[in-house]
Amino acid sequence: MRMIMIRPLLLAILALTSVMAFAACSDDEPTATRGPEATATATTPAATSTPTLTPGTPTPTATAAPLLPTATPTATPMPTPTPILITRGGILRVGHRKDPPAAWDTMRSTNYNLTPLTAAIAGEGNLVQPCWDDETTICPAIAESWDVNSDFTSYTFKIRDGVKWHDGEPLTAEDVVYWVNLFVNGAKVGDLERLPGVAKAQFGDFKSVELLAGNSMRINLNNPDAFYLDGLAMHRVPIFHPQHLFEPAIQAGNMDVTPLELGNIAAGPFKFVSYDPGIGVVTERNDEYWEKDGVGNQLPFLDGVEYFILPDASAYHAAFRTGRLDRGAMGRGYYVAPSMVPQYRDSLGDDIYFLERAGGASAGLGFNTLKAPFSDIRLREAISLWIDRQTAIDTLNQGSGKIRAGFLDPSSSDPTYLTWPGYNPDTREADRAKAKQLVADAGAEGLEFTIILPNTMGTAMEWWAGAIDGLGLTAKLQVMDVTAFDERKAGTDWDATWTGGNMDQGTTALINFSFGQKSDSPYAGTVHDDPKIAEEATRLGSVRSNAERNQILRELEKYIFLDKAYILQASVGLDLIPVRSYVKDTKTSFILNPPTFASFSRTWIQK
Amino acid sequence: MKGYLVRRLLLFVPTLFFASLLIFGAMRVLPGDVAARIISDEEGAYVTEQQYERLREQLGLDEALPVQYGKWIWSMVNGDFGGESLVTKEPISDMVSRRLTVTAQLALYTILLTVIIAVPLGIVAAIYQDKWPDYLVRTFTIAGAAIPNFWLALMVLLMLVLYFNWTPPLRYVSLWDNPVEHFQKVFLPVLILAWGYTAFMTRITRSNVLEVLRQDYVRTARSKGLHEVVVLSRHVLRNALIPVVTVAGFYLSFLMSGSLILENIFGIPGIGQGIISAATERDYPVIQSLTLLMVFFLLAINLLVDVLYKVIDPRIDYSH
Repeated sequence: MRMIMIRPLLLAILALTSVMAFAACSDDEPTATRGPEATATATTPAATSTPTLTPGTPTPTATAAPLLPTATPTATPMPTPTPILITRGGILRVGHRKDPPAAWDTMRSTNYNLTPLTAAIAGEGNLVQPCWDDETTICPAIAESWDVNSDFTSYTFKIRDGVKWHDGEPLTAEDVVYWVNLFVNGAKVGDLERLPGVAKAQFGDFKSVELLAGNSMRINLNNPDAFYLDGLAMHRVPIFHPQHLFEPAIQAGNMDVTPLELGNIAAGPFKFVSYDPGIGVVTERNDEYWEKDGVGNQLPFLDGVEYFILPDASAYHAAFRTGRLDRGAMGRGYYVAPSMVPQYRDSLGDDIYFLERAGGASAGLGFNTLKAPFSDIRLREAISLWIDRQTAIDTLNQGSGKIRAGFLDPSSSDPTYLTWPGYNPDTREADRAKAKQLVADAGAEGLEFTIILPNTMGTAMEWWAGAIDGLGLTAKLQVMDVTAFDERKAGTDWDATWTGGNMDQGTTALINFSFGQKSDSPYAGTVHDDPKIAEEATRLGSVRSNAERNQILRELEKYIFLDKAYILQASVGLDLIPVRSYVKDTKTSFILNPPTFASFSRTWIQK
Repeated sequence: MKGYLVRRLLLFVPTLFFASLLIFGAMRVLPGDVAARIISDEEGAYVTEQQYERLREQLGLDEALPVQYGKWIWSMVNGDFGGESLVTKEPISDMVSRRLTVTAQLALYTILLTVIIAVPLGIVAAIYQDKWPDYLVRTFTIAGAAIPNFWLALMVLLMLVLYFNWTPPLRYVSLWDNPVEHFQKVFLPVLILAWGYTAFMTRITRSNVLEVLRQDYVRTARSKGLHEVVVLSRHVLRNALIPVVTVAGFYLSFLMSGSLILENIFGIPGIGQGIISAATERDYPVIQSLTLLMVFFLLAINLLVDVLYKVIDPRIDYSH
């Protein structure tokens, strides 16, 4: 009898142990359907219509606000687009990393497991979007035009007439006002409360939103921001919450109602059809989509997009190489590294091309400057002076990267950054001698410190640990799964950390969130109590010209990465997204977040 | 027998209770936070500390641990089966019914294949002890036991890509919707799992058959002039089967808990894939509920195996 009691308990403990061990360690289709309907339409690569500016509006570029010169992708050959007949129809098969979180609620999550999906269903931007032809400029989306007041505190949008939600209801300015309010302020019904959207910072220094006559609405800001639309035109805040569906649900007390519960109704190029957790997502063409391409062709061209959820990266790469996917997935672990290209070519020959993104295996090193040892700026400077950034390109980027100054695309950084101390190969010996001297002055010879990192960034951080070798400091890597890392980094109990390298930091809010003080962003890549960054970021909102703006960004970059060395960067390489050659007019942003241009509204399949 | 069953069923309650405490405690000890995962972008989260805390509050993560435990346990017994996923908001009962069907099919195929292969191989190895068939079987079984199935799965996928330019279909379809695609999707994980399980079961069968073959009653049966097939099937196999049933039951309970890594690699949306996903995202209610379900399977199948002993060998008496 005793054995009978003990055995199940032992079995239970065994089962539990195996689950804990895992958690602690971690982290019909073969042929693409080519639709029968083939519309022959002569066209050139898509052009986007220009936004209407009201006469008299000060122009500093509410419309086209070139943040940063676009880097020119090179390397992997792409098929040359020639004027050809666009074929309508077909299903695009796209890889996807994981199940979308938060029941598809873009007000709750901006995770890459969600936003590429909502890009297809809700469109790429919201009121505005990055232009297809030039991602550094802003084009109309649900708003057909806009107007800005003289001090850049009030943006008035004319909403497109005739836009419909996927369920056939009209999408009006009233819907947009409701959506903005819900995102920024949340909702209250009696004692019940719905929280504002987690990405409400994209709405900038928001003051209020107003409904105007003539299917128009206005967003008012507390402080001037001439580049407000740059922050707004992001994949993180799609219009995905129809008033006619959400308002009744919320009024009935379902405060956390999500898009998925209400059928994922939006107004983007593709309608949501089904979602099978762990399997995939099916969408179909929205025949009443509002957008046309530059020559007047009704978008989208595809019959639909089917996403396959492939939680194992090895299985994903194998599936692509055997022709089961048309376009690759986005997100860390799913990009193709340049070193993997020959394997893809072995399998698919020339029947494949690669979309390029800035990234690669490179990563930054952020410091906790509020506690020893890195409260001492001499140690941070010493590391910056000691490391050989060229070796990061050679080892992490397979020789195809660039030395990186900080948060800007290298072509936008201070033109002299390669002569900065620690960046200049000609002064390496002197720099290294100075680095040693700084360590000695700080009395830190033989010091050991820990770098925390998620398990997906091991290679990059091993480079950092190795690059510091010889300086007299020893870096130990503490690897954890992504969830544990997020929590650890949100605290202050660490010396140094892996930090990412997005280069879309050109707005006040994003600068604050990525580099600001702890209270502004628990996930910033560094911990400091320096108010200057926030002050400069605020100044960024009040400038009137691109030149002035770029100057501030360059100064900020130099201040954060060189003068104060709060974070260090080494190099930037390429992340590649594989695409089959018969897939046309699909692209990704080189510097903006990858879900940009993921709506597939212009994509078509060449028979 | 009835009294025995009642006693065993009653013992489920304290076992499940202690297991639930362990599971709940373990999940809270693990580092990481589901709220951080939900709101984090690829490069970090564009939220303030206040927003993060409010999300934790909304998810109920700010409540005292006993309150969280109480709510979870209540939801387990009131029919909600743990409530809903914090990450996807899907009701866990829906998740379980959807995933359990998939895992149950995979488990059934695997266990059937294992028994079909292992028992005859074990008998052959025993009959031809220390001859070439025995060596062949032992080589096969040692390899199956030695090679980790997740490594083998990755190698198999790679070889399929390199030599056949083929991988299993991406979308899992049920047996009833499309049997051909269904088996295209599951045959590799079933084969890989079955090889590993076959290895041990073959050896168990072999050693038990060898032991029974040396018993007096087998010698008596042979001396009576019974055909060897009759001796083997009626006198040897039946007596050698009890340990085999134990092992099969043990395997089945593990398989019903999901083949964690293989389901993930082959994209099979079963319990194992659900547990991996929940563990990665720290989706507490999901992993707690699924793990408790695993414990329940272990208990239930263990009981079933004990009952089967009685069927196989009527001499076994549970009355005392």
